Amino acid sequence: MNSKKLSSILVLSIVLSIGLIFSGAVTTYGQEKVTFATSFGGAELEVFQSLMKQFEEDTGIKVEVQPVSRNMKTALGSRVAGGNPPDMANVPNPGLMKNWARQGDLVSMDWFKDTELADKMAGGFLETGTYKGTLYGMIPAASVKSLVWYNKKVFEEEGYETPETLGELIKLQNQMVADGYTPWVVGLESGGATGWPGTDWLEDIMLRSAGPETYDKWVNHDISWTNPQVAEAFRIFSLFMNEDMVMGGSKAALTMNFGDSAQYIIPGAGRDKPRALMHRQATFIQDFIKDARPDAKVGEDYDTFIFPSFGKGSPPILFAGDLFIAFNDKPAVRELVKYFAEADIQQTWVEENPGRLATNVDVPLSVYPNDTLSKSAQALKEAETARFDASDSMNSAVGSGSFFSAIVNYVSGDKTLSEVLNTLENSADDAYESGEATD
Amino acid sequence: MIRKAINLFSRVPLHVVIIILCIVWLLPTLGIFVSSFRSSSDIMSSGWWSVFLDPANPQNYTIENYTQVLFGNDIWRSFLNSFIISVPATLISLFFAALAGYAFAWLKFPGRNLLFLTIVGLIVVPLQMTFIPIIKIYSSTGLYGSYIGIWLAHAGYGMPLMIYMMRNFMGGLPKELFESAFIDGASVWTAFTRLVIPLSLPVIASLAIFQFLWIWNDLIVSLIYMPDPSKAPITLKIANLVGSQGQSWHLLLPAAFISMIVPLIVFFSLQKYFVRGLTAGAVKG
Amino acid sequence: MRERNFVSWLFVGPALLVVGFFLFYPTIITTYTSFLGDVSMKGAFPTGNFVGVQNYINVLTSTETLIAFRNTMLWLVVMTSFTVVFGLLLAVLLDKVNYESMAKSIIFMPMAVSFTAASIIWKFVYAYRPPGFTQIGLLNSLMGAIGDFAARPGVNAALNVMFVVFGIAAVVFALLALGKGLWRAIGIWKEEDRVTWIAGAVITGLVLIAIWWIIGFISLGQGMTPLGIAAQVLMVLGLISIGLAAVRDNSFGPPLMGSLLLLGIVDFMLSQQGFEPTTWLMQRPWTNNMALIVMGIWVWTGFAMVMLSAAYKGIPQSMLEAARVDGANELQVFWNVTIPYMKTTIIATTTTIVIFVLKIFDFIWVTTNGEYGTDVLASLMIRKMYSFYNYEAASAIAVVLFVLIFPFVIINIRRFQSREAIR
Repeated sequence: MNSKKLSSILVLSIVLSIGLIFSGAVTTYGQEKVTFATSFGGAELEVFQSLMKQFEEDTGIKVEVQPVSRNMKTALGSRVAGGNPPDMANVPNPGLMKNWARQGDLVSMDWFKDTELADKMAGGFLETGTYKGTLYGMIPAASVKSLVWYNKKVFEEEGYETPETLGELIKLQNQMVADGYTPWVVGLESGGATGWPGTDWLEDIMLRSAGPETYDKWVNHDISWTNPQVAEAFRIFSLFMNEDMVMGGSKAALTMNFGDSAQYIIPGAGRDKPRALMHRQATFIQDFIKDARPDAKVGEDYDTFIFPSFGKGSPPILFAGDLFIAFNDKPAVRELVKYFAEADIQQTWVEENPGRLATNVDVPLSVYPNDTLSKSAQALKEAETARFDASDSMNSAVGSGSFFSAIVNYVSGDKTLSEVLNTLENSADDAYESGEATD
Repeated sequence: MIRKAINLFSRVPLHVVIIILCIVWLLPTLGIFVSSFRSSSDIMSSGWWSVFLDPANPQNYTIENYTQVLFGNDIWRSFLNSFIISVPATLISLFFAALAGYAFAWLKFPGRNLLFLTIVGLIVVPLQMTFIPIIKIYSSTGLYGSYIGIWLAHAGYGMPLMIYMMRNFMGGLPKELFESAFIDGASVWTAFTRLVIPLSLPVIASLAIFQFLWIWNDLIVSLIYMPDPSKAPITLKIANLVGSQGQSWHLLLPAAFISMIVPLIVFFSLQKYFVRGLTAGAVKG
Repeated sequence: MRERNFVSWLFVGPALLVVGFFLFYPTIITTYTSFLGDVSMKGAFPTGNFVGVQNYINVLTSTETLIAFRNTMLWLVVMTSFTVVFGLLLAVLLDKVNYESMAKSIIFMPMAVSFTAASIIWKFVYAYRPPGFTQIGLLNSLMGAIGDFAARPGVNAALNVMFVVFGIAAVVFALLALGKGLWRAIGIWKEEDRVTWIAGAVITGLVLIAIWWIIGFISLGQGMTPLGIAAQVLMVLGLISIGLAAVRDNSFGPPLMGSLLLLGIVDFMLSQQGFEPTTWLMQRPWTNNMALIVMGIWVWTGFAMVMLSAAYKGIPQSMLEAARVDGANELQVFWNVTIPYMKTTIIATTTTIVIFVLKIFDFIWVTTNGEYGTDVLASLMIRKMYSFYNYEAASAIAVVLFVLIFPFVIINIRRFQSREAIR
């Protein structure tokens, strides 16, 4: 390679690049555009993108979907701080939304509250997207977390009935043990976030044992972690999470990956009976079960029931979902927000994207591909109480930090309950006071 | 005869050690290579080596993972994008670094040593600390999201190491060469293009490989500076194959290999430069 | 050289511009931020109130920083030494075989894989399933298999016999070798050969580090069985004896090494019986860190090997031949000729790797996110910045990192600048 060649390659590439720069500029010139950063990936991303294409056909506004996979905090955080955020984004938890709202990076969506679409939203969703009285996030689709996945075949064979109260659940798990089964499989491992499935357990319990008002106070750190009701929730948790009731005991629970663990409610190759019968997890786990046990059919081999209420009435629902937030206020942005609040769009979203539930109450239950989901959707609509996942709503230092470690320490027995609660209380005190992301 | 036998025999440990090391190095990669041909349920239920217990059984294998990744995912566009990002960025980096390396090695100017120390010292800067200030400036100058923006960014990030190596190498060229050239009336630029560059090809080629590899495999810089998905490189595409909870992570296996092909080709074909060139400067003395 | 200031600036200009903008300017901003409190990133520059060195005090006294610091040092020492040593070893060994190119490519390949691929690759190596379930992780499965194999009655008996045989052989050769060595040593010490002896001591020192490493890594967090400890020690003694044999030509060295290694292998196999799968990435405090460091070594050894190989090939054959003719064995040639000749490159490679090691954060970020005591300074800094928006703490840690790495950069440069003063 001589220098002539080198310089000609250099020139060629510069020319090529200039050409490409301009080609990029030409296509988007003159069209209204919304940039949307998303954490969606894989199949859900494809559905999302096709919906956006449809939006473009319907309204003429182009949406540029910018996937950031799981680097949302780094990528989006830098861009927001750098003053160049996308127009919109979807964040998986209110904590992140509250943070940006507090810093003044988000635009208010209060205008949405005046639309008819707002009335159609199932209860609880608008509150979740609100911070200090202003609406910042719209939730188009949620996933229900208060689900228990169970082996339907065994239930039918043994004549088990899906429990509707706490008492029935306890009786059921004792019966299972007596019949020689292991009731639960729990998987807490998740790399740096190990322990988070345990927080879901605790939140479900807290919502039922302490009630929604206390739950809200708990999320906002208006009551302390050492409060007896919190301690009570932990104790109820240990009724389920112990050596006798969980496959492999605490050791297995702590070391088994959450995505890995669900498959054990269905017998693997060469086994007659499954290793466990029930698994408490949100709707997304179905993908993992399908990957590991592709032959199992939901509705036949396995199914779900809602984690029972502790008293009378329908059980409160713990849910999670993506909040659509906006950094810039433009007519195009408002169009997009309204678009995703509409029933038929949400219908497409949940049909193509199993595991999600629409928040617009007009979406009929029949659109859901299986019973699990339609039951969950119904529960969501009917729920007297629905609350967003607490650990997602809390200050992230606690909700994604010390809460997870607390579960690990509690389940492993490394610390006593009071030690665990004290540690939590200390970290919460620090986090909610100091300059670290407060909300 | 006996000497030959002894020679061969004493070489056996050498070969054994090398082969063991190579196997150990290869084993992890072999694991995902095999796994990329297995169905997701197989991957989750048994170790990849169990394939070897029954190697001829076609049920053990599937190319579905590959087809899922290669088709319908627009992965070819992102392949192109990776090239569009990597090649000019590498060339620009090399060009700037060669110029500067030569200047630091052979041209006198005030503050030369201090500048060199500072530039190379900046190798310690972690990338993440640079994002926010640069985004601010990029946004106000309209460079944000452009190809030229990311080329310059990669050039900037790679400068310290490249200038260091270039200078090292070029400094080792014989003084007499330049002296005779200047006596003959050559300008600095001619000396640079006619003498320095051709003689420095080993280090240039080595740095080309190194920088290309780094840019091709980069995820975070593109994520930050290139949000436009139609310009996203293949690393970004691959990361997006996985659902937000980690579903379908088994698709990463074939994707990883597909992405690995280009760097490996680059490495294999330019290997001879690599071996000879990288520290020719550091060796002297 | 004639003064050509204008042209010089033209040459250096582009590089200066990009470096100044992309690296220098953010550094200034970062350093500035590290002295502020309550930082907000809005506006062209970070704003906040001046708090002096408060951030540094906070950072340097917090437990998490101290753990991150300890881990960073661990990475520094272990990864750099192993990467350079392996690289050197490979550079020398591969030079002697025909399939050098292919082997080099295999060792270098990890550098060509993207970071996503590398993390998946090692996810499969360290994967864990509870005992009684099929293991899908390479390491757990392998050790379990070794254990099962060693537990089989026939094999077990054979292993025990071999254990005794090798044990006796090792003891015998050890006595002979050490005896002969000492005998000669007493005679040799009178000569001017201290350097070689010091070198031997250094090898032993490195080997002791290796003992610590191996015990830490394989100790499994389950407590070491006596057999297990014995295995490690024996294998390492084998290595020490290489050292001793190398330092002074000692014909009992190789047999001693051989029997100790074989003994160690047998012992290791026996000690794996009853192996229970381990969660490698969760065992504190050493196992998980070592597991991550192994990933780093796997990736970077190729780089070290290539750099050192280039230097190795630059050694004039004449020097090596001369030493061989003088009666030196291969190890002595390596020690007395090769290494001194490559000194510069070795130092350059080592410092370069140190710099990259201190910037590593991806391996940790994606596998454990810094949990279980695996955090390093770089990942801690990023967490402070993006998870807690604590820009001031992150900046302070960044500055600490700068200060840590900078000396290595200086070493690297100063040396060849003094070389050039001769020019």
